[in-house]
This record gives sequence, C-alpha cells and structure tokens, in this order.
Amino acid sequence: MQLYECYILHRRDYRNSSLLLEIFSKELGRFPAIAKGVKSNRSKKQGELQCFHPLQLGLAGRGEIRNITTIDSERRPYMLTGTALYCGLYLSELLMRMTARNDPHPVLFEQYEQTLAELAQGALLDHALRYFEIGMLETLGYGLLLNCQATGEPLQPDLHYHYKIEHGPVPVTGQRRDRSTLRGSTLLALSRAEPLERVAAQEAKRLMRSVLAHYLGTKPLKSRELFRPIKPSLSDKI
Amino acid sequence: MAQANLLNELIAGLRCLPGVGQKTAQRMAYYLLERDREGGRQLAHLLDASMEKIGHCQQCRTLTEAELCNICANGSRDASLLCIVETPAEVAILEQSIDYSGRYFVLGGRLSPLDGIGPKEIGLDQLDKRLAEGEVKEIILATNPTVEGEVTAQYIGEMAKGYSIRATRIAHGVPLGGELEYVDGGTLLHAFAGRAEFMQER
Ligand SMILES: [Zn+2]
Repeated sequence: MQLYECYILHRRDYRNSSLLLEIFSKELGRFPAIAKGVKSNRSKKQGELQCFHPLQLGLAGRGEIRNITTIDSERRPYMLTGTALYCGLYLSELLMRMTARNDPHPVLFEQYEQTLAELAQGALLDHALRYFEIGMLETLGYGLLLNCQATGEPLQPDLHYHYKIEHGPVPVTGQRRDRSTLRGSTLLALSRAEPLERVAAQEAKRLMRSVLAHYLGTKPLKSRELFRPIKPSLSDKI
Repeated sequence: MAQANLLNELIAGLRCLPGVGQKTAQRMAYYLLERDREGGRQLAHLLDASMEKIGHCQQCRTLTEAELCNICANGSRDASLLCIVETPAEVAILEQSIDYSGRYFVLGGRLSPLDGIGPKEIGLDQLDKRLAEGEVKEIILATNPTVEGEVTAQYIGEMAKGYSIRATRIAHGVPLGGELEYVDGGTLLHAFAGRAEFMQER
C-alpha cells in the first residue's frame, strides 16, 4: 500500500468520533480527508493527527474527500512554541490561500518542511517567514525579481526602489521615498537569502505584504491578528 | 398526510442532536409519541424556554439565564484567580471534579485563523478589560492540548504578562491509571516537556 508524505493544515471534528482534515501532501498537493473513528477513547491516533507533525498516510477513496486508512508517524512533530507557533499557523493559512486543491508542488512541500524545522529550532522568525514567502512565490510561478531592476539593469545598493508587482524594482527619486520603497541593498540581500538587519527586515516585510496582498485579494490573512496585541495602539510584530 | 410529515420533521429535527443518527432519532420520536407524551411536552416546553432565555454571563460568558452566573454572583469565590476554558461544558466538568474556589472566563472557542476565529471572536477584548481592572492575580490556562488550544494559551499568556499577572497552564500528559507503553508519542512528548518538580527541597 502506498504511503504519502503529509502535513495537516487544518482539522475539525466530524460526526461523533472522526476528524475532517485538510492535508498538504508532497505527492498529491492539498486535499480534504476524513480520519474515521480517531476521536474514540481507544484510538491513539488523535494526538498524532496534529499540525506540524510529519505523517505518512495511506489513503482510499476516489471522491473529493478521501479516507485515511493508515497513519504512520515515525518522525516527531515540530514543537513550535511561543511566537513560532503563530508563525506555524501563518504558514498553514498561506498554503490554504495560495495553493489550489489537488495541485501538487513537491518543492513547496520541502520549503514548508524546511521552514517548520527552522521555526522549531528557534531561528529568526522574520527571516524564516520572508524566505518561505519568497520561495513559495517562486515555486508557484510568481517569482520576484530581486537581483536587478525591472529593465534588467543592475541595482545600486544605496538607491531606493519601488517594487512594481509582476515587473520588478523601479528606481525612485529622493522625494518619492515612502513606506512602499526599499533600498537596493535590501533587494540584493533578499536575492542572496542573506540575513537581514533591522531596517532591511522591515522593508522586506512591507514588500512581501504588498506582493502577497496582490495574490491573496482583499480578504486579509486572519493569522496576522495573532501577532498583534489585543490593544490596537501597539504596533505589529511580524 | 400532514401527520406523517410532522413525524418526519420531528425525526429530522432530533437529528440535530450530537451523536443522533436516523435510527436513534426514529426511536426517540416513537418513544415520546407512544410511551411518554407528558415527558415529550415537558421537554418541548423546556427546550423552548431555554432557547429563549438562556444567554451568556456578562462577566465570564458561561451559559446562564441571569445577568451574572452563579459563580460570578457568588461573592465568596476568589476573584484573584481566573481559570480560562474553551466552553461552558468545561466549567461544569471542572466544578464537578476539582476543588476550585476561583472564577472562570469562557472563551466559547479557541483561536483558529483558518476558521476565521481571531482574538476578538473569542472575547479577548473583554478579557483584556477584566485583566486591566487589576483584581486578577493569576490566570489558569485550561485550554485543550490541541494546536489551537496551545496558540490560545500562548496569546492569553502574553496578555497576562503585559499586566504582570501570573499565568499557569494545566498539565497535560499520561492519563491516570494509564501505562506509558499505551500512550501516543505526542502525548508523551508533552508530558515530558511539562514535567514538574517531584522531590521538593526542604
Ligand atoms: Zn459568570
């Protein structure tokens, strides 16, 4: 019987003792599946069917919703704690919103797993999220142009650029610098996957927000609320 | 044929109860109609009155028909201890099972961005006001050991930290009378990470 490499993006109770899961699989992409009877007291499987746990699942059924027939969880879950846990949910939401069902992207699966590992190891969260976002867009065919201008000319590290979506960086003159522009040095650092200093990290965050907003449409990502304290006066963290 | 329709509707209506499928619903409907009409009337009346009158406690959000639930209205309960749970049913279970003299706050769910549930949807703005009042000295996070429950505990823990309020999390792990061999890996991992001091120094 074939087993598929999978992560759970979302789970909800289904009927009395079952779970309805949204699965992200290396071989099959994203799809819904039911795990029958796992919520009964006798089953040990419920604790394993959690987000961030690398699973090998056997599947049956041809309809839109598959049935899970085998659950193999030899590997341990990525233990995300603190703000890294919010980042994990943010990744789940990004994958739900950015991928279509039954559209496999093995590379994206690896990027996701790699990012989970970084988050679990206590890597810089900002850094891990930005490079996941950039990698995901690349894999899904919306790759950003980060190592040269939209025209193909080289970037100057200390000049400011406006990122024109689906074109690339366009230089701006001093007066028109605002929150939507970023320095050439930041773009170059992103293109080389280098660590980002504080200002560069802020610039990169704003860039990725506006790019993602373009592909996600008007509905904002709900998981971003987790990074904000309940009091609106305090500013965002991620 | 109006009667047959009503019976079918009753059976369909009973199926809204958790764990009740077609067969059970049928058995319930026939039982009430043939053996216990008085009980059925009483149930209908209670259901109607409950749906009409039971709302949420203004302070802790648990279910009650009064403005304040019995626990919040009870002046002898310790207002410096606040236990955070996901559902009103959990308040009932805790009240039956443990000797707890503090108060509760019922979220009515847990943080789950993919279900559209953020901090406001589970009343955390209301909780924030409660914490700001300064009476609460410790919050006990009794959300469930799921990813969403952990996220919720984490978020509320940070809120408490902002007010320098002590936050504790209920322990999760090996069930009483259980044996390690039969516990799943995830639970063991949790139990191990959350281990507590055993032999206290004197
Ligand atoms: Zn109350």
